[in-house]
Amino acid sequence: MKLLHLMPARKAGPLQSWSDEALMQAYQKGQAEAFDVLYSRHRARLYRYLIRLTGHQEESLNELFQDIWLKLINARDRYQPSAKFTTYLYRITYNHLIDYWRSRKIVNEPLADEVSDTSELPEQHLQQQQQQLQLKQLITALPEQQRTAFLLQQEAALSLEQIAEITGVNRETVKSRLRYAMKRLREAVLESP
Amino acid sequence: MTEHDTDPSVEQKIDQLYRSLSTEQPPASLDRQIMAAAHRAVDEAEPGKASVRNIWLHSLAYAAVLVLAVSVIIEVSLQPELIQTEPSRLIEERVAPAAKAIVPEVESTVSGISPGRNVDRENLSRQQMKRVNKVETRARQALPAMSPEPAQAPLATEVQGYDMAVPNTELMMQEEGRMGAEPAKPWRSDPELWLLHCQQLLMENRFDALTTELAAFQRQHEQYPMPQNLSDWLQSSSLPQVNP
Repeated sequence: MKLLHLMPARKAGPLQSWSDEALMQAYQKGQAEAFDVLYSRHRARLYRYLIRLTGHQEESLNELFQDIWLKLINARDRYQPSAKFTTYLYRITYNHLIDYWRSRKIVNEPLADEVSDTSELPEQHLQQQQQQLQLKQLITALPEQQRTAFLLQQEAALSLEQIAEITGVNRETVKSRLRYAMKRLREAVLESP
Repeated sequence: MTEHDTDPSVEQKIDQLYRSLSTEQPPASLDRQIMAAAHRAVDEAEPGKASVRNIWLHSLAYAAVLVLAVSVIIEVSLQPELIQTEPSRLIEERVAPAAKAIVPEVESTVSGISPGRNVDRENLSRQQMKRVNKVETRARQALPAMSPEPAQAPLATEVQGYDMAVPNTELMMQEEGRMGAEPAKPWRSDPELWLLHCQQLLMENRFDALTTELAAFQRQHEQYPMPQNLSDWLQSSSLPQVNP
């Protein structure tokens, strides 16, 4: 990970081999370096999850990102070792986003399309860029529940059960949401040149 | 459901495309802020785990206290007179003047009373009682700082009997002599008081002093009648008796 340079070298070795849950327990017991490793593992995924889900620009995105991690830090004593850490982290994130949207009375509608200047890119690269842009647009165009389920699966690599636990629905509902989301994306991908 | 719903190549293509999007990273400054907050939270939650700054502050405080304590000890050890001379200063400044002040009163008061121990106030004449009360008052005024409860002070301030007043006066004068001056012997100014003092020495079994005092008394007052107990003691001792 690129974040390794931010961590003390003497702590990186043994802690890197620990599971997320063991690291969180160590942090609970006061080993602050365990948090550094844990953070380095999940920072980029969570950051992208927030980008895809909210479409926020850097300033408000960073604020959200920091608030979520601070919530995790402050709620560390409530973490139960039996729970998977990623489930714990994304449940905090999910609840925080719901509070965030409610407090600002934001209806999480499909996000606006991004406009990208692709005039100076080589043709092959241009094609890939267009597909990426299209996929982004497709994801952001998904209904909020399908988008959440899709991103939790893709970014956080969570199972159906974990997504169901986080979003407060049953496994079959999650499976249905994911199926609809994938169907829309497939159709769009197949239609593209 | 169409055939594309289960087409793994399409899902693979979507996965690849999605992975190619995954380039965004939080800024390093944000990383540092979050990790600092995590470390701070742990430090604040554990009072026993002091920060480096706290360790330095505590060490500095301990060192300062240690230096102060050692300085005080050295200062005191280099100036022993600070402690040792204080009692003699107290005597010089308070006790000796007080003793000097009451000695004439004691002498004049006892001069008209026959010698004996524990004189009963009820047996004193009105004039003698008045003089005793005057001595009491003077003694209390002379020694205001000697006792937190002057009315009950057992020193010379309470003239309940001459046997109590005289030794205390002697003690004060001895203290005065210890400061360098020749010890005064006020009881020698009056034969009755002198004999009273000798009686006191006899009661306290201070025979060396008694021998000295009686020898001196006999030299100065050859014809003065001596109490029976002192005469008996003289006879039993080797001191030659001038007045049988």
